[in-house]
Amino acid sequence: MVGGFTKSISSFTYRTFFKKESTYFTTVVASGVAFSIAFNTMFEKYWDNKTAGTKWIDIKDRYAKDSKLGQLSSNEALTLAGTFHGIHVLASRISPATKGSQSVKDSGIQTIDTKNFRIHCYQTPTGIKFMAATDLLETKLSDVLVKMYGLYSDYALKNPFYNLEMPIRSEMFDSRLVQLVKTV
Amino acid sequence: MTATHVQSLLKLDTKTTKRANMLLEQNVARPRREKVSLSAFAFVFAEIVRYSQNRVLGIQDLEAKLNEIGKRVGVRVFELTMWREKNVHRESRVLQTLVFLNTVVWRALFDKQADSLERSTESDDEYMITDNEPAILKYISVPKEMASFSPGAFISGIVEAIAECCQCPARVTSHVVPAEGMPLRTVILLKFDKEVMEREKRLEAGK
Repeated sequence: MVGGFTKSISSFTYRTFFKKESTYFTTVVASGVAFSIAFNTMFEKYWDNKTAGTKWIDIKDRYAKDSKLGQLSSNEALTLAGTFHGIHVLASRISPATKGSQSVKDSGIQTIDTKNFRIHCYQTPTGIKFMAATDLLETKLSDVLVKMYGLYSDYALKNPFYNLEMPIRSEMFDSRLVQLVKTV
Repeated sequence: MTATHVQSLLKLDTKTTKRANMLLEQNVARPRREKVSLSAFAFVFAEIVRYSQNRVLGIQDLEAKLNEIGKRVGVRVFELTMWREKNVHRESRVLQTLVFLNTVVWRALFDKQADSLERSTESDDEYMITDNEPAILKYISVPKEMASFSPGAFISGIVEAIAECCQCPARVTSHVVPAEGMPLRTVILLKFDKEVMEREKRLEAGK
C-alpha cells in the first residue's frame, strides 16, 4: 500500500514536471528562483540579527546633523567650547579686581552678548563648563546650568557605559535634559 | 612630614569618617538601619559593571558575570534577613519562597515590595517578579548596540542565590520590559528545576 502510494506520487511528479521538456524547464527555473529568494531572505535575517546595532541605520542619528533650526552641530559646539575655554581662562587671569592676590581667582566669563543671542557659561568647582546659547530674553541661566550639572553627575557619571571626556550618549540624560530645557 | 602633621591628618580623617563609622558600627541585628546612599551605591555598581565589561567577550558573558556577583550578595542577604527579621523562617516551598522574595527580601534591599509576582501563563514552573523602577538601575542607560543587555542580571543573581538557599534551585534571568513612563521596568524570571516541581507535586499530593 505504502509502496503503491510512493509510486503514484513519483509517477505523478514525473508526469507533471519532467515528462514534457517545457514544464521540466519551467520547474527548474521556478524552483531556482524560489530557492534563491528563500536563501536571500534567510541570510538577510541572519545578517541583520548578527550586526544589530552596528548598521548605519542604527547609528545614523549619532552622525547626522540635527535638522532643528538654530541647533549647533557637534562640530560647531566643539569649536565654540575650544575657543571659549581660552578666553575664559584669560579673563579669570587678567581680572583687574583680583589682580595681585594669588588666592582669589575670578570666576571668568559668565555671559557673552551679541546682537542676536547670548552665551551663558557655568563652571563647576571641578572645572567642567556648562554652556548654553540662548536669545537675549534669557538673562540669568545659571540655575538651569547648575541643574544640568546635577543631571550630568547623575545620568552620565553614574552610568557604567559612559566614558569620561566622550560625548554623552545616554537616552535618559537626553530625555531629562529636554525636560529641563522645556521648563525654562 | 612631621609627626604632628600626620597626627592632625589622622584626626581629620576620623572626623570625616565618623558618620560612616556610625553606619558600620551599628548592631547588625537592628531591622531598621540607616540607609546607604543611593549615589554611593550607583558609583560602586557602575564600577562593577565597567570592571566586568573589561573582562568578558559578549553580552551574555557580562550578564553571567553580574549574575555571579549577585549570587555572592544573595547568600549574605539571605542569612542576614533570616537573622534580622523576627517573623520569618526558612521557607522550603515554592510559593512561600516567592512571597518571601517578593516582600521581605525586596523590602530589605530596596525598601519597598516588588510591584508584582505572577506565574507564567505558558508553563507551570516559571514565575515572574516585576519591579517597575529598580533603584539600583536608576542611572543606567544601556547603549543601543547592547540593547539586549539587562543590568538587572545582578538582581537576578541575588534572587537565584536566595531561591537556592530556600531549597528551591531555579534558573533566574532578568529582562528589561519598558512600559509607559517606566523605561527601566525589569522582570525577574524564575524557572524552577524539575526536581523542585516534582517535589512540589509530591507534597501537594501527600496533603
